[in-house]
Amino acid sequence: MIGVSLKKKKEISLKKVEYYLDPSYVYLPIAGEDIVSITDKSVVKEGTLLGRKKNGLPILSPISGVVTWRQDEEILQIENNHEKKEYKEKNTSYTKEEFLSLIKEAGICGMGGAGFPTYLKYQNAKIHTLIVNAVECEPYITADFACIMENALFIIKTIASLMDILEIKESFIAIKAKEPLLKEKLITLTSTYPKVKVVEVPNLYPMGWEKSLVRYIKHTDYKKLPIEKGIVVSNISTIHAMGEALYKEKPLLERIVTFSGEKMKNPCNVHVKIGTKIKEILDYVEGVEENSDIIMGGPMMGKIVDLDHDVILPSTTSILALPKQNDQEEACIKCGKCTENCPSKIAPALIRENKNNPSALKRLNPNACIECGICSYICPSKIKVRDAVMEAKKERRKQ
Amino acid sequence: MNTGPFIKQNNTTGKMMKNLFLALLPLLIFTFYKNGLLPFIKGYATFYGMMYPLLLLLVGIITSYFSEYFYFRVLKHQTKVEIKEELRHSFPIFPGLFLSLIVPYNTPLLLMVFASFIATFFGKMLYGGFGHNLFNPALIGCFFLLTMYGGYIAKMGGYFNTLEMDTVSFATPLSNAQGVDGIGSYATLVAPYGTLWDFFLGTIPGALGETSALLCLCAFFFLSFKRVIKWKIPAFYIGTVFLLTLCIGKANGMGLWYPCFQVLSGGLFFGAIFMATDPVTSPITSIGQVLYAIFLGISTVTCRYLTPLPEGVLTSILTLNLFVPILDKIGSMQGIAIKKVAVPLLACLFCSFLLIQNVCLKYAKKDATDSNFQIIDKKTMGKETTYVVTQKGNGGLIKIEFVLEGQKIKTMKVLEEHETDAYFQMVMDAAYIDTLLQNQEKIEEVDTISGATISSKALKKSIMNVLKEEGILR
Repeated sequence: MIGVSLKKKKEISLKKVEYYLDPSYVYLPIAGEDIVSITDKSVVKEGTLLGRKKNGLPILSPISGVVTWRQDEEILQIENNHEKKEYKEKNTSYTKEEFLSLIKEAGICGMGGAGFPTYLKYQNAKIHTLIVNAVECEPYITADFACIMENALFIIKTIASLMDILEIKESFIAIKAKEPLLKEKLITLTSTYPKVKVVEVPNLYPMGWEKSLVRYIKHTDYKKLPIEKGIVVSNISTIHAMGEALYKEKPLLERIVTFSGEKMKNPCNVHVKIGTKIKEILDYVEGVEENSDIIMGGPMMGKIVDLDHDVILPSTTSILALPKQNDQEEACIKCGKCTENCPSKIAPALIRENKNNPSALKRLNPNACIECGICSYICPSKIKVRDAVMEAKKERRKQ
Repeated sequence: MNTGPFIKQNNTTGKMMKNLFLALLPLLIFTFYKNGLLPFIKGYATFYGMMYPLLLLLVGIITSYFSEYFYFRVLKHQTKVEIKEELRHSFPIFPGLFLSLIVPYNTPLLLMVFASFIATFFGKMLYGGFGHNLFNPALIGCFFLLTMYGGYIAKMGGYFNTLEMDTVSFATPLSNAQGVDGIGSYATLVAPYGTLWDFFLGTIPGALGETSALLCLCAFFFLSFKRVIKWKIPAFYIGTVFLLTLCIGKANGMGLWYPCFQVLSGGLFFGAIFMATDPVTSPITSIGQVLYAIFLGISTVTCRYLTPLPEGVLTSILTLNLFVPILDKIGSMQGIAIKKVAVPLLACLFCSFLLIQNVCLKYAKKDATDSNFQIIDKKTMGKETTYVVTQKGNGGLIKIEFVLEGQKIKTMKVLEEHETDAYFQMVMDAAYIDTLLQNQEKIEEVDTISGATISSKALKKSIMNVLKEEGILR
């Protein structure tokens, strides 16, 4: 298995769980090709359909209130009128088609970081194996962990229903090794479900990458998507959201987000509404210390937050406040560490060297890069190798 | 703006270099002990002689440092503050440090300054400084030193420190082996220097700091554990040399000691572990590294048997440095792993096969005509024929005069010899020449003198060669 062992630092955010489900405003970003079907200034309820995205997912209002469409900024702003909606547990059985349209209309997409529409993943050919990804291989993040701790039985029930509806033969819950609490809980709860197995995967980054998981659990390789081999990999929070849609007809309107990092004053996991401004939640959790980088996502793949604009998305796993880095880039000594540790088995140092050389780039295949960031992390000369590879990727697309 | 990752591994180029220096430290101490302290204690060296290895080291490092300073100051017109910053990231002591470990003991200080300047200024800085050089700087320096002043240094005493000059040595193990084309018995190849254990410990003559395989091996494990060097290169390099020499040895009826001897001599361990793994001048890709190492092995063995370069490590690494971009190209090809490795690997196999065959052929021819034998003069006066011939001994050519009458050698006189005095005295003391002449009809059965094998064998061979020349012996 290729990967690096990172310090987990999970304990920082595990102390408490907070709720911030009643923000004064939510903001939903609207990209160019998305369709808005609601008129300006109309009053909506929680879960009302506001429009539809390019990829077919509905845009749903996370709260009740008044909608303002600020076209110049490409956002829908909803002012909260603090009206609550109750969801009741139902017990209905679905066919595959009903199920697919249900999760599509519930707006469910991948909650592990990619944000890929879930119904597209499951509508494909025959699925025989479901891998539930609860690895959370990036440091600091405990959103999935918190989700399991709260809803373990519910999640396993959901997995069982999914297996019934989609006629899946076996399923695996992949968790990180050396998490005794999680392992014990899941193993006790799955004891009555013989087809649901709990697998421990090595404590390596990027073990939560689909390809790594499929390779480790099923010992097989695929080209583009795991469905080629009849396998589907879903994040455990996504499974939970699917369960909420199945049993309560509750769409994906909220999630757990980890607020952590050395510079976070009050690290915790927070239940938040999709579309809440990050700055608003940061103020609620007492904010961050001076001289820090605020990051959306994990420390390896995350991006710096734009405090004025960025809001919580379904795929936002965490907001981190980390000490600012001021490493100086030095000359590449060609130590080969980036190449040795690359999970995609490409040679980042060579790609960086040849980033303006089209014929060499064709051979070096920068498009295989998954942007995991190991090359930049491991570089002893502190070179931003991943940035160079991403540039090369762009260069390659132009051709 | 920072684009992440927002955590970095707690490792820097500076730390790697620090570890490299730590790994070299035992070798530096051993160098001082073997070439300075030990001769001094035994009374072979003066105090200056004892400090000389350290002096070479110091001169090498200082020159190296100032060459870089000179480069930034004169060619780049930088201010002192800028230069200080540059030198902090450029690790200026390393070319000089490595160079001082691979030069002969008797290198004059002035030549050390010259070599270290070449290494740093031409080998490293003119390419663009740290991280940009194509060839290993220290090897470039050593290459210039040995090609331009190798003869001069050899006259000064070459590789031998004062103790070795006075006691054991006449040639470094591999130049000694080259005298018999690399193929000989344990007694001729290993015994003059002690046992294989001495080869392993490093108490044999050779370049200043590269003789101890044991310490190099320790450094290898330390550096591999610390992930400073590319471990595949030394492993495959030494492995290839071992396998090839094992085949050559087996083909010539020699045992396991032979590949061990070949692997442990000529600074192979030092070269493989410290020089071939220089990150800047070795491949990045894993497959590239393996191919690089295998070709290094083939090239080294080729040099040892088929060229006048007895050691071959330096030349091989410099040659292969040139091919690093190509090897990386092979290593970075996308596609099925087997396909991309198959062709170069087959090339490796083919080269190895050719090499072994060549060496064996070369040795097979040796039996028919002895290239160590040469007739200088032949006169016939009446019944007497006088030959003046040379035969290669331990310390060079032995000039011998033979007088033949009829089918028999009447007298044999050594005109000139450069053998080690103690050994040749043993030969003379034993009245070996008389024994040889008395038994000339069954000359092949005469034993050589143990302890002075090479010298006595040379005399015996010269008689055989003269008799062959006359058609008496077949």
